[in-house]
Amino acid sequence: MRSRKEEVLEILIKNHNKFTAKELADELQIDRTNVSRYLNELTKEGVVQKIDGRPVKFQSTTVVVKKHIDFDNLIGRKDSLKSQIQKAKAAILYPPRGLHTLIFGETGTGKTMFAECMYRFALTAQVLTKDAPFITFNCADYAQNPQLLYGHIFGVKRGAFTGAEETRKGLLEQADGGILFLDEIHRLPPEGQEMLFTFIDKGTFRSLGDEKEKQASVQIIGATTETSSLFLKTFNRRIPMQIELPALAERSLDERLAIIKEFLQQEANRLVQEITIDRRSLLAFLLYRAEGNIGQLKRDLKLVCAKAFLHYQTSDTSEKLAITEDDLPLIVQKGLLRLAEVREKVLPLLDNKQLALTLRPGKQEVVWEQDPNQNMEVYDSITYKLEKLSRENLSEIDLGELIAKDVERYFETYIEELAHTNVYREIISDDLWNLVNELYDLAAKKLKRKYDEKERFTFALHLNSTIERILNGRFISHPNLNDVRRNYSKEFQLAIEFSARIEEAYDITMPLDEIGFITLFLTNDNTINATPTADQVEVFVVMHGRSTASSMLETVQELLGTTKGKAFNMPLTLKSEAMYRQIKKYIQADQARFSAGVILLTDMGSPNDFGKLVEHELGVRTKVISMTSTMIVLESLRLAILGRSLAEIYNSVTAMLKNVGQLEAPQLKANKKKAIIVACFTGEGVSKRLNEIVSQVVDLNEFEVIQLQSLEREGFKQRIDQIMLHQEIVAIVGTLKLDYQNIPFIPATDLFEQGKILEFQKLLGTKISLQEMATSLTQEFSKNIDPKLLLELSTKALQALCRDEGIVIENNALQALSLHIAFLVDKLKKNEPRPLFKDVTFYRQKQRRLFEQVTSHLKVLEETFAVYFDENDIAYIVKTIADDRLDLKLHSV
Amino acid sequence: MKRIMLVCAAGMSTSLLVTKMQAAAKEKDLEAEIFAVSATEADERLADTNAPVDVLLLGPQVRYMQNEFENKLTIPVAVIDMRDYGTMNGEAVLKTALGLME
Repeated sequence: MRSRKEEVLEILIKNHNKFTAKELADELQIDRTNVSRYLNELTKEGVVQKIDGRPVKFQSTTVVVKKHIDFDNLIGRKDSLKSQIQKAKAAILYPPRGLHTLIFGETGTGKTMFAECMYRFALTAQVLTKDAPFITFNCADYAQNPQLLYGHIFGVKRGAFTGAEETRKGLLEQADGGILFLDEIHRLPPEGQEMLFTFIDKGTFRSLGDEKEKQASVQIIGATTETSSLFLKTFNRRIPMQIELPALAERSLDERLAIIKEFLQQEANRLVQEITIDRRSLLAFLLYRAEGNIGQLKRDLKLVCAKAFLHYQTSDTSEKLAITEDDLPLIVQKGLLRLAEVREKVLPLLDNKQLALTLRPGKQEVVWEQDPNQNMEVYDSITYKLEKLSRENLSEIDLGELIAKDVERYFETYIEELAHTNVYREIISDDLWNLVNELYDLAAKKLKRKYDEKERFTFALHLNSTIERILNGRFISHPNLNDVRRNYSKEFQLAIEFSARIEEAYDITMPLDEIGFITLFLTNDNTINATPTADQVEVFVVMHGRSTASSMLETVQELLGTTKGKAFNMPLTLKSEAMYRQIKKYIQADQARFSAGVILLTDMGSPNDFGKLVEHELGVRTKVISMTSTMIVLESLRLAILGRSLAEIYNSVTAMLKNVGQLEAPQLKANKKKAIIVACFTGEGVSKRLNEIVSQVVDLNEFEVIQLQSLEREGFKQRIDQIMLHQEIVAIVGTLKLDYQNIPFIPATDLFEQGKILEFQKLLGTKISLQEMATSLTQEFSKNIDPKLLLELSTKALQALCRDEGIVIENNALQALSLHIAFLVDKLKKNEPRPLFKDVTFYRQKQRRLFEQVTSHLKVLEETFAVYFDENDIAYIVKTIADDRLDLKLHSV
Repeated sequence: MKRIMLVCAAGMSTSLLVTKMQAAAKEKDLEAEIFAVSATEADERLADTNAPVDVLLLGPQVRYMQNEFENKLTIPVAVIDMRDYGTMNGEAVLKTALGLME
C-alpha cells in the first residue's frame, strides 16, 4: 500500500500546482505537522521544491507524462493475455456488480498489476464511479496473527479483544462501492475463508466483536499461486470467475522484449538519463530462465541498471548508462547459452546491425502504481555509498542488498546521509591520497585513535599545499613550535616519521615548522573531547515512527563519538500513555542519574506534554523542544556532553532554532560589501585556493573575500569580531570547524566539490527575490502568464541543469539568464519575433551535449506554458551558459 | 548627445529595459540615444566610429564580458545591478549610466 508521503507527492505531481502544507493536510485529512514533515523529506530528496513566501508553498519538481496501466496498454493484450483480458472484462461487466474473481499465476506473473487493470477498466466502463476505492491487501501480512488479520479485513468493534481500544473500519467497509484485492488469498485461515464466503454469498459481514450485520457492495479479486486440489475445491464453488496468468516462459519473445523495453524506458525517465543495452545483454535477458517470472526479470533489470548507474557515476568518460554483458548476473548470462537452440526465433527480433538498444528519457510511460520497482532509492543509495566509500572499496557495494525492498532501511540510510558531510577527493592525486592513508593508518595504530575520511582529506589538502610551498621555495614559520613540541610530544614524534616518508616520496626537505603543523593534524583536537562530569543533562529523543528516534540518535551519537542519549520510538500503534509509562520507568530505574535534568526532544503531539508530567510526578527538571531535527539532537547532545546546564542547553538550542529562521532574511548593511572569510591553519595554502575559488563564484561588487589564518583560535575570533564591526560576514570557509557568532560555517572540502559549491551559492542568496521580480514585472508579461511561476520554473530548470551537468555560474548571471528565459516565453506567447542565432547548426554540433541538456530541462516550461523553443532560442541560452560557466580548476595538482 | 549601449544575450529582456530608460530620459529632458544589442553584435556596433558609444552596460548574464571590454575599450563599462535589472528599473540604470560618464 502507498504511504502517506507518497500520497502527498502524488497530489503534487498530478496537479503541478503550488500547495501549502495546510491545503495538502485538508485534502488528505491528515495532520498538518505530518504533512510538513513529509514535505521536508521530499524537499530534501529533491522531488519537491519549497517556494519561499508566506505561507510557504510546495511544488513537485518533475513533470513526467504518466499514464495509468490498463488493458489497452498492457503488454500481451493481443496475444498471450487476450483470453484472460476477455474474461476479466466479462467479470467486471457482469451485472449487477461484477463477478468475484480469482487470479492464478506463479510468483511474479503480474497478478496485482492485472487486478489494477481490472479496476481501471471498471472505471472506464463506468461500472464503478470515478472515486470508487481500489483497496489492496496481502493476506500474508498478518498470517501469523489471525485475529489481527480478520480485524483488518472485517473491522473491529471496540473491546472485541485486548488491545482493541477503538472501533475500526475493516477493508471491506473501506472498499464499499469498489474493489478489494486480496493477494495470497490462500494464506487466509479456514475461519477467515468462511467469513469471506459468507460475504460472497450474502453480501453481509460482521466486524469482530460486533453482533450487527453490515452490508457492503464490494467486488473481491483474489490472487493466489496455490493450485492444490483442496484449495481449488473450496474456492471453486464460491468464486465463479477464475483467470490464470501465463508464466513468463510461456509468453512470446516479442512480449518479453516489450516488457524489457518498457521497464528500461521507465528507468530512463526516472533517472532522466539515456540508457543503452548492448545486443548480447538484451539477448541474455530475453532468454534466461527467470523462475520468478516478470517480477524477477524486472528485479534483475533493476540490478543491472544500478550497476550501470554505478559505472556511470564513477567513470569520467561515460555519458550514459550503458548496460553491458559484464554487468549481468550469472543467471542472466546463462541465457546466452540458449542462443543456439532458439537462434531462429530470436533473429527477427534483433536487427543484427543494430548493436545496442537505446532508451531516451522523456517518452510517455505506463505506470503500474503498486510496482515495487518504481522505488528509486537504490540509485540514491549508490550515490550515497559512493560519496562515503573510498575508491578502492567500490567492490564493497553489494548491489543485491541495495535492491532489497526494505524501504525502512533506506529511510534510515537517508537520515544518516543528511548528517554526513561527503568528501570528494578529486583534487587529490591518487599517490598523495595513498600516502596520506598510509600515514594515517600508521598514526591510528600508534596513537590508538581513529581518523575519519574527512580528517584525512583535510590533511591531504594541507599536505598538498605544503609540498607546493616547499617546491616553490616558500617557507612559513609556526608561531608556537615549542609549545606544540611540548604539549604533543607523541604526535610530534610521529609527525617527524611522517615527514621522512613525505620527503622520500616527493624528494623535498621538510622544515621543522611544517612538522609543527603536521603535528596539529594528528592531535585530533577538532573532535569533541568528552569531559564527563558527574551530573550531565540527559537527552531523550521521543519521536513517532518505528525507528525514527533511534536512527536519528544513532547518527548523532556516531558523529559525536558518544553513547549518551536515549531514544524512545513511538510506533503509531503505541498509545501515548504507554509511551509515557516507558519513559517514567526508565527514569525511575536510576533516578539519581537525572539530577541535572532531562531535555526532551520530540517531533510533535502528545510527547510535548510529557515534560510537565515528568517534572510533576518524578521531580526531575525537564525541558521540551519540539519539531526536532537531526541538527537539534546534535546540538543538544553536544552541549549535554560538555556539561552545560539544562537552562543553557534549552536557551542555546531554541536560540539556534530562531537563528535558522533569521538566516533566510539577512539584514543588508547599506553600501557595504558583505564579507566571506576563508581560513586555514597557515592563512596561506588552502585559504589561498579557497580565495581563488570563492572570488570566481561570487560577484566581487557585492562580496569581499578575506583570507585569514586560523591556527590561533582566539586571534582568529578577534579578527572576526573586528570585521563584524563594519561588515556583515555571510560565511566562514575553513579547514577547522568554527561555530562562532552564528556565522554559517562551510568546510573547506565543500568548495572543492561542484555540488557543494551550488549549495554555497544558495547560502549567499540572490540580490533580489523571485517574488520581488515577479511583482515588479507583472505589468510586462502577457495576462495569461503567471510571472512568479514562470520565473520559478525557469530558475529551477537552470539550477537543475547546473546540478546535473556540474556547471557553476555566478548567482546574478544565473538569475539574469532565468529572466531572459522568462521574457523569451512571453515573446513566444505574444507571437513576437525573436532574433536568429548565427550559424546555429554549426553551433549546435559544437555544443551537442549542452544543447540536449538545455532542451530537456526546459521541457517543463514548454509544457507548462504551451510554447515551443526553436533552436535559435536554445542556442542563445546555451551560449550564455557556456560563456558564463566558471572554470574553477578544481582538478589541479 | 550621449550614447548608452546595453548588451545582453539576445535582447530578450534588455529591449524592455531600454524602453524604460528612454522614458526616464525623456522625463528628465535628457537627450540620449539608448539601445541594446546582443553579445554577438556588440563588437560590430562598437567598431562604428560614426556613432561612438559613450558608455557600455552589460546585462548580469553577460558579466563575463566585462574584463574583455574593459581591456580593449576606453569608455566606462559596468555590469547592471541585478536588483535594477530584475525590476527593470529604467530610472536607476539610467542614473548609473550617467554616473559612469561623469
